[in-house]
Formats: sequence, C-alpha cells, structure tokens
Amino acid sequence: QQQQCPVPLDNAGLALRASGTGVEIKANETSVQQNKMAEFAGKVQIISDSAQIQAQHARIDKVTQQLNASGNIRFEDPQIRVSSDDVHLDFNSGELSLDKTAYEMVGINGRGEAGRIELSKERGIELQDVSFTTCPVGEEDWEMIASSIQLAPGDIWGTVTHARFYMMDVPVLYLPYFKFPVTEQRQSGVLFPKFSSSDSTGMSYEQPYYWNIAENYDATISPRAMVNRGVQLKTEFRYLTDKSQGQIDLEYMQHDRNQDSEEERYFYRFIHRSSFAKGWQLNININAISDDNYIVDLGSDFYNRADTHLYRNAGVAYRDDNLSFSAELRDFQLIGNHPDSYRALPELKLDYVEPLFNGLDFLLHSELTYFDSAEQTAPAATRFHIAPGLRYSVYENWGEFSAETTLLQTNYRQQDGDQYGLKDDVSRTISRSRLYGSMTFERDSSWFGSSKQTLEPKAQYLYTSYQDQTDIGLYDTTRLQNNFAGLFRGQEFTGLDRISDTNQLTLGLTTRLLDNKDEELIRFSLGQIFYLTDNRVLEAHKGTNRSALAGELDWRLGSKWFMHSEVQMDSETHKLDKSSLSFDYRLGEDKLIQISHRFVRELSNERIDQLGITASWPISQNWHWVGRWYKDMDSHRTIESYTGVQYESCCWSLQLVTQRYLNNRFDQNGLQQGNAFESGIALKFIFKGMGGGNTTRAMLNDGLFGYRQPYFLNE
Amino acid sequence: DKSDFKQTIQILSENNAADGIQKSGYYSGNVHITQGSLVIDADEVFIDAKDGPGNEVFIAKGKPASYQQKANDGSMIKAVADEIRYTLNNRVLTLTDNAELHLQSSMVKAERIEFDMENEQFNAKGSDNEDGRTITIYQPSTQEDANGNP
Amino acid sequence: CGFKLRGSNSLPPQMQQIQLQATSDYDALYQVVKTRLQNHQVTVSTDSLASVPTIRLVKDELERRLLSLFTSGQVAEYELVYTVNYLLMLPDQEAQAIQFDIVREYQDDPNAVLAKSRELDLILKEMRTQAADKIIRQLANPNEITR
Repeated sequence: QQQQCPVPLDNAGLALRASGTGVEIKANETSVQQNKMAEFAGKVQIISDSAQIQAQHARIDKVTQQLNASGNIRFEDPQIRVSSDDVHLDFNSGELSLDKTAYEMVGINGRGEAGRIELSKERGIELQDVSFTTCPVGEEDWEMIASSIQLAPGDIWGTVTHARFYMMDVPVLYLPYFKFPVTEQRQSGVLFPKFSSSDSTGMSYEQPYYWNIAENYDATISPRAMVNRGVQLKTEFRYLTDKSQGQIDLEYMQHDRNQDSEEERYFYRFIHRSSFAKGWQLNININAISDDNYIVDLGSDFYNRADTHLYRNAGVAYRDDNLSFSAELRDFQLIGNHPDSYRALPELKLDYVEPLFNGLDFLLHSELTYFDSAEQTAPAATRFHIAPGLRYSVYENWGEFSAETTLLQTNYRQQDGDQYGLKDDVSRTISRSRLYGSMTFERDSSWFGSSKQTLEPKAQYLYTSYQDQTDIGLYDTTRLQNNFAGLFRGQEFTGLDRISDTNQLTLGLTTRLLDNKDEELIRFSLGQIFYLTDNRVLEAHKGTNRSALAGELDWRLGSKWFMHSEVQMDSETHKLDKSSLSFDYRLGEDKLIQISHRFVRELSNERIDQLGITASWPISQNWHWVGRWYKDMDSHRTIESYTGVQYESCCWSLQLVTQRYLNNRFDQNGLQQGNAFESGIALKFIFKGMGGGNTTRAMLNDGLFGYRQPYFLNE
Repeated sequence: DKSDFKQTIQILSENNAADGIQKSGYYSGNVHITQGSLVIDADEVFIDAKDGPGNEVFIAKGKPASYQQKANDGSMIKAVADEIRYTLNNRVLTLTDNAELHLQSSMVKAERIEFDMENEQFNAKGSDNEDGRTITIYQPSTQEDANGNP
Repeated sequence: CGFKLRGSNSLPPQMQQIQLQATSDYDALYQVVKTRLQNHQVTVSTDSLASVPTIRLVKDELERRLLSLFTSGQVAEYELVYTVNYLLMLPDQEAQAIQFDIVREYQDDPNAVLAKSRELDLILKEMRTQAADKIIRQLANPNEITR
C-alpha cells in the first residue's frame, strides 16, 4: 500500500549522433549564404553528439560559430530536459545557454524553473535563479529557491548557493551554501541541518558543510550550537587512496557553559588502514575523550553512552596461507572510575600451520607481550609463550573427527614480583590433548511442516596437565562467558595467565527440522561438560562435577513468527544462571514487533533482569511509527523509552522522535550511580530525492538500544 | 568558380533533336554538359531557348541527374537530384525530388533546393510532415576541405 | 527410529573446484573460507575463469548493539553482529550478491578491558568459522539462498 510516487525521468529514447560526426539539423526550410549564415525555419530539430534541441527557427553564424534558436525550445541531454524561449550555442567553446527555462532532471525527481541554464563540457550544468523540488506535479509540498545549482561533470554532489526552502509556501530554512547527492548512490552524510533538544544540551542546531577538497580527500565540518552549552565544532576528514584509507574526527568545545570546570572538552578519533606490501596491513584506531562525561553529555556518532572504554591501538599484521604475524600496541581509555587495566605495549603474535600429510597438521602459536599498567598495585611483566602442536582431523559430510595434542610453554619476567606475592621469573610447561568427534544423522519427518530432521551428537574429551600458577599475575586473563557456543572451546579463561588443569568430557546434541528447501524451521541444541576430576588451579575450582546445562533454541513458525532462546541452568541447584528469550512477529523490514527478555543471575556481582519491546509499524500509507521500551525488572525502572513518528510523502519526510533513557553522569571520583534520566526530542526534515536514504530503518537503529556502532575490523 | 560562366557550353549525347520554331533542343542518352569546371550528367536534357541566347534554361532529368563544379575557394561542390534545372541568365540551379547538395563541410537533403551558383547561396524546402523536412549536416569545422586548408 | 548417517558428498560435483577472490589481499575471512573449503576436499584457486564457480568476498563488518545495562547505566551485554557480503558467480548464471549476519552475545567488564578484548578476538575468530561454514552450506544449494 506504498504510495505510488512518480518515477524519475529516464531518457532512454534520446537518440544522439555518434561523437565527432558533426551536427544534424532538420527543418521545413533552410537557407544558407556561402559559409557566413544559415537560417532554419519550421519544426527545427538540432541533433549533436551531446544533446538534442527542438525549436521553431534557428540561425547559425558560420563566421563566429554561434547558433541561436528560438520559439518553444525543447532541449534534452543525458542529464536534463529543458523547455525554454531561446537557446544560444557557441561551437568553439561548446558552451550552451538557455533562458527563462523549465527543467526536469534525469534519474532523480528534481524539476523546477530557472532564469538561465548554462551547459559546458568542463563546468557541467549551472542553473541560475532556480526553483527546485522533488515533489510530484501539483503536490509541491516543498520548494527550494536558490541563486544557483551547479552539477559539475562526474561529481556526485550538486552545489547550491543562497538557498531558501519553503514548506507549503512558508519559508522554513535558509542555507547560504550546501551540497546534495545527485546520484542514486546512498550518500552517508546528508548535509541537512539537525534540530534536536535534550535535557543536557537544550535546543541544538547542527549544520554540516561538505568540503570536497580533492578527488580522494573530503571533509565535513559541522558546527553545532546548543542552548545550554554553547558551540561545539565537529569536523571529519576522510581520505581514500588505492593503498590506504582513513578518517580523522575532531570534536572540540572551547567552553561548556553547563560545565563547572573551565577546561576545554574534546573527542578525537583517528582510524587508518593501509596495505604497504603483499599480505601486510597497517591498522591504527586511536580514540580519546577529554572527560568521563563527554559522551554522556554531548553524545557521539561512534560510541554509545553506555560504553565503558575507548580503543587506542595500532599495529601491523601479515598473513599468507600458513603464516600469520601481528605486532600491535593495545591500549584503552577507560570511562569512569575503574582500576586502570593492563595494556599490551607491544604484543607480537605468530601463528604457523604446516600440513604434513592428508589430515595431519603441525600447528604453532607463539606470543611475546609486555604488560604495563598505571596502577601501582600491578607489576609490569614480559610474557613469552610458545605452543607447538599436532592435529589430525577428518572432515566428512556425515561428521568430523579431530585429535590434537599441544605443548604450552610460557615464561614470565614479572618486575619485582615479590612485592605482589609473585615470583620474578616463572616458567610453566603444560600439555594438553583433545579428542573431538561429531556425526550427523538424518531422517524424513513431517512435524511442523518440516520434511527432514537431523540429529547431530558431539563429544569432546579434554585433558590438561596441572601446574601451580599462583605466582603468576593476572594480566590479560578473566573467566570466559560460558554459553553453548563456548562449551567445546576447551578454554576457560581469556589470555594465557591461567590454563586450568582439565580432565573433562563435553557432550552436546543438536537437532534441526528442515523444510523442503533445506531451510531451518527449528534448531535445538543442548550441551554440558562433565568434570571427571576437579580442577586444582584455584580460579578454575568448581566444586561440582558438571557444568551448567547450556541450551539454544531457534524456532521459525511459518514466515512471520521467530523465536530465539539461550539458556544456562546450574546443574546442582537447577536454577537459571543465564537466559535470553526473544519473540519476533515480523511481516517485513519495517513491520515487526519483538519482545525480548534477558536474565543473568550474576554478572560483575549484579543481577540482570531486563524486558524489552521493539516495534515498527506503518499506521497509514504515509505515517509510520517506531517504538521501543526497555525495563530493568530488578530495579523496577524503565531504562529506555523511545517513540518515533514519521510522515513520508513522495518528496519529503518529517520525523519526530521523543526518547527518555537512563543517563547517569560520573561524579568527581568517576562513580556513576543514581537514577538520572535524559529525555530529548528530535525533529528531522528530510527532503527526499536530495539524499536521505531509508528513514524508517534509521529510526529502528536509533536510540540507546537500537544503535549499532561499527567496530574497526583490523583482524 | 566565376570564370566558368564565361565559357561556352558543350553538350554530348547519344542522340539529339532541335526545334527551330520552338527554339528548343532535346538530348537523350548519357547527356554530358560541360561549361568550364561545371559538369551536368543526366539521362535526358531539354533546352528552352525561347527567350533568346543567354536566357536559355537547361532541364536535366535522371535517376539521379548530377552536377559538380569547383567553388571559389577551390573545393568541389556536388549535387544530385531527379531534376536539375539550370537557368543561364541568373546562374541558378534548381534541384527537385531527392535533391542533395554538398557544399564545403556541409550537406543538405531536401525536396527542392534553389542554388545560386555565383554567390554560392541556396534555399532548401521540405514538405510539412515530419520526415519530409530538409536535413542539413555540418561536419566538425576542423575537417580539412578539398584542397587541404583547415 | 529411522535415523541414518548423512550421505558422503555435501557439495555437488561441479563445486569440487572453486575460485576464491577477496577485495583486499589481507582479508582474514578469505583464509578461513579457503581452509574450510580445503577441509571439504575442494580445490581452491585464485584465477577467474568464467566456467568455474567463483566466490568473491566483498566486505565483512562487525557491529555491536546494546543488549543490557548495569544499574550504573554502563553496558553489561552486547550483541555482536558480524555481517558478510559476498558474490556467488556460477557458470552462465547471473552473479548473486549475498549478505548474511552471524550474531553472538558478549559480556563487557570494565575492570578487565584487555582480557575482554581477547574474548572479543576469540568470538570474532569463531564467527568467521561459522560464516565460512554458512558460505559452504549455501554453496551446497545455491538457488535457495535466504538472508
């Protein structure tokens, strides 16, 4: 029931002459004086290699190489179709100009009138004293009047000067200079002003300017004026060459009125990736903010208010078929008062695989890392680790089998370790062997509309020798989250500072119901680890002989209902350690309701018990609603309520978003507690056809819980 | 060029007939008329001389009849048409039906072209409907003309 | 109860030879897909003959979305979404642009940021293996590819 919007003009029927074959002129009457003057009258049609002109009469002055035509002119070239009173063409310079015109763009819905249009091969098209709209004829809800629109050849941006926007003939906006995308490619940075208001910033107006510096450098400069705080300058510089690409973001506020302290507030971000030789890559990803409350107060396009740290790492990496090497500096900036965590300055990793003969591989993993931390209570340390191993594996369509045995040799030098109850030099040698097997059985079935059912048992036996590790510090080691996916990982801790002794058997079972197109209708998995002997490594001590029972269920009922659930249940107490459940009723990309619940009995000594509802639903042909509500059941408070309404017609859309979310500021000693909430309203005009992309999807991804931040993939 | 028009006209043909009283001549069969660099070839030519010497009108017909002459700037002018009428006194060529005239770097097709050879000017007329219009094609002026000057 | 072992060849005969290409020569997913293909006894080459099925890895992205908060307001759990875009070009058939997501959960812990970044690397490595398996499953029945 989408509204039928007019399709942009396409001039497939435009027949032009092959380039360089001169100009063809048809007319009822033609008269020529030697090579001085030619006159054409009656249904004149001029066809060149770049455009077609129709007129009542035309005159060519051969000496000055000028052509003038007049009498209901129709001009058409691959970019624009114009009707005008008269046209002037200079054969030498190739410049053509039309006066008092009405025009229509090709490929986008833009049309309007222009006092004068000038075309030339070098400068492209320039429309002067121009009106422009993308609305269908007769429904001109909005119109832009500007002194000029320039469409440079090959440029994806149109440049407008002295633009005044009218909504229903009421002036709403003035922009001295701005750029809009002319090609259909989705332009990420639509350069329209952003109006919004929130408790912390008050009314805020941000006006981005696009600066196309050179062919592969460009920048966006967007000053942002906030009633409660003052002016913030946000700049982004992007570069792209064939070997490297990167981006520099700088946000700066000289003085924040709402801030008691006088210092400046800033955020900077530098990401860079370049490949400087075959298989080699350099990656840089450095971010920093001036104070803990920067993102909480001013928001960020790159980090979520709830994020706990910013990345500061840089490194080079090499990869080919059987060797991968990386040298990296890995550091972080923590937000809030957390013990300063260790940094790896630097860490070198080398992995090597050598297939010996079919199925048998020699593996080598090695690391050399220097750990350093600003905390006085944590020693600096250098760790060298090398783990040669042999693995035999068989892959068949009906199953997999692999046997692996690895020697893990690690050496530490912990600077004056004795002060921290550790030893200066420690050497640890551990052996580990792993047997893994999985098989896949099938049978026909008809439950729930399925045609095939699979049964996939998995088993793994893991033995790791014991060595006391109490005199090794914890540098990059913490307990790994245990879920179904992690059961067969054979690793209980991150990093290397604790390798727990194991004598355990892991069993898992997955069953799938597939429809006749081999698509999963239901997938149910269950798994558990059986500890044959208890771990003697302190941190790994369990006190029970079975791990939590981990299960996963995905259920697709018909084409509209989807259910996903993950559960971990403590095998002793039969109580839920962790569970997540989500129901989706989905009729389309923008027509869905999702109810989700998350529960974690203990995470960093807190209980997570959270209910969430997200919905996106069209109300009528032009109106669309998006809503989201997340409630923390443990502390009985709503942590985010978000509702957005959007009106969308063929040529413009209005988006009104109101949201209220948990937003605790950090106090002087960096602690974040309490029940501070932030509420905000944002109004967004989008003149469609001038860039703007899919707007409902933008609302679905907006807000605290909807927002997806990109990682900088440098693995 | 202009000197052609002072020269005598020669007519060759397979057969001819003259009519003293009507003061007209009729030539047919590969008729070849030359006057200096001016050449007209046609299947049949009818000469109307009733207005006395110097005012004759040559009416050449052919499938097509053709004309060529060296222009003042030395380039060759060529034309074809089903009927080419050459009126001697005002040195005008009238080409009718499938007329086509090549002048320097431009070419004109039309139903009827009146070509003033002396001042090298012409008027062309097409019929009113779309596809009967005159067609003029200008090659890009950078092309060299017949004797090599740009 | 009617279960029998699945048949031996998962990939149809014309898929025994695959050309694997990537936009950057440093693509981590490329190595994982290549190894998994070789595990399934598929010969992998880098040339680009039109007569041989070709997989061209276009782009892979990792994004995070908030799942739950601590009482302080800082993030407790993230959802990691690994999106893979690739082109499947079968002989004398239109190239198919395919995109899919691999989704995993990840708990953050501001008191052990370096250790947690190791967990993130580990989960990303596992998601890449899952993505490679999914690409191979899609190879097995190319015309029923769903998102």
